[in-house]
Amino acid sequence: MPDPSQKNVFEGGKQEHNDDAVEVRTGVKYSVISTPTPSAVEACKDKSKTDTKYKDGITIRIKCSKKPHLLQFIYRELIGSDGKAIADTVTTTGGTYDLTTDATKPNWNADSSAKPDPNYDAGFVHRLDADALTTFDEPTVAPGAGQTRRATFKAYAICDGKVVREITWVREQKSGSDPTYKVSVTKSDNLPDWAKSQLKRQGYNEAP
Amino acid sequence: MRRHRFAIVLLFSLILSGQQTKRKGSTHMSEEGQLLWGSVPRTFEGRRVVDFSYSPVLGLSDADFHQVTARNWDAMKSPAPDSVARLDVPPDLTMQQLQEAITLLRSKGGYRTIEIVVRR
Repeated sequence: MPDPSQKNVFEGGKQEHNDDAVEVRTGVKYSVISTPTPSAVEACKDKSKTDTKYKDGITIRIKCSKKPHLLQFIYRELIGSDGKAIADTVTTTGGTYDLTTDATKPNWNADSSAKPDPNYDAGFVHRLDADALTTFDEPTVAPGAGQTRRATFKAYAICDGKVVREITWVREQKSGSDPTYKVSVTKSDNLPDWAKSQLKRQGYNEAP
Repeated sequence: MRRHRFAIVLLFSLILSGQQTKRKGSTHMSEEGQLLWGSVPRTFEGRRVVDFSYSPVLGLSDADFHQVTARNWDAMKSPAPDSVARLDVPPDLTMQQLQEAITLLRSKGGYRTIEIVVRR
């Protein structure tokens, strides 16, 4: 039986990273189709395909057939025209959190909607196929005049209960410019202590 | 060719049902609200700004691309009477779709000021 998430179709974009465990693409277009379709190729050709209007997303594809998940954390910054970080808050469906004003002390937040399940794919846009899990994200970073807005993420690719990669990605927009992405991927086999502490502090289940 | 980019600022001061309309110069458009247009997002000194993005397919999402649903609207309601909803929209949105988004922010979120920014 097709997974309901197979209504989601992610196309195009630039390949930022690809190895045997994960593929990361940016500038990805997100569409939906009327009926879940297990074949990604067939889903792309489906005539019911409707553009969601999100055309500059990032996808993380975890090449794993056994319990793939993505665990993701975010912090945000707003830089004023004088180059100094501005203190403010961000209101989200999961609650309100403070902007980071000192990048050496990031105010991480678990990026999940399904407390106590901390996984991004428990509630946010993704596609689960037999051989992979693909997540899609496109955080808003539109800045005011002279400002820069930046969202920084640490994402942990999990396969069969084990962390396999750490993906660091940043979406940033400077006033008068288009948004940009920066992506780096490293091999990893566990969740760092700060991440475990953060999950506990925010009331999420323990992750691997 | 790089698309011409622009932003539209729409200041939508909503009038509560039954309240007498207050005319404020040329910016007053109708009994529904007040519209101002500009080229860059505004800075609202001392006022809380709550970010939303809109898709005709997905509806409203928060700044972190989390869909706003009936279940989690409470977290996204206007935190103060003068708070601003900043709405990020695609450039090819129709007026009907834009109206739908504004109506949701007004009716579900209680926002009296809505700033619209066209997605780059």
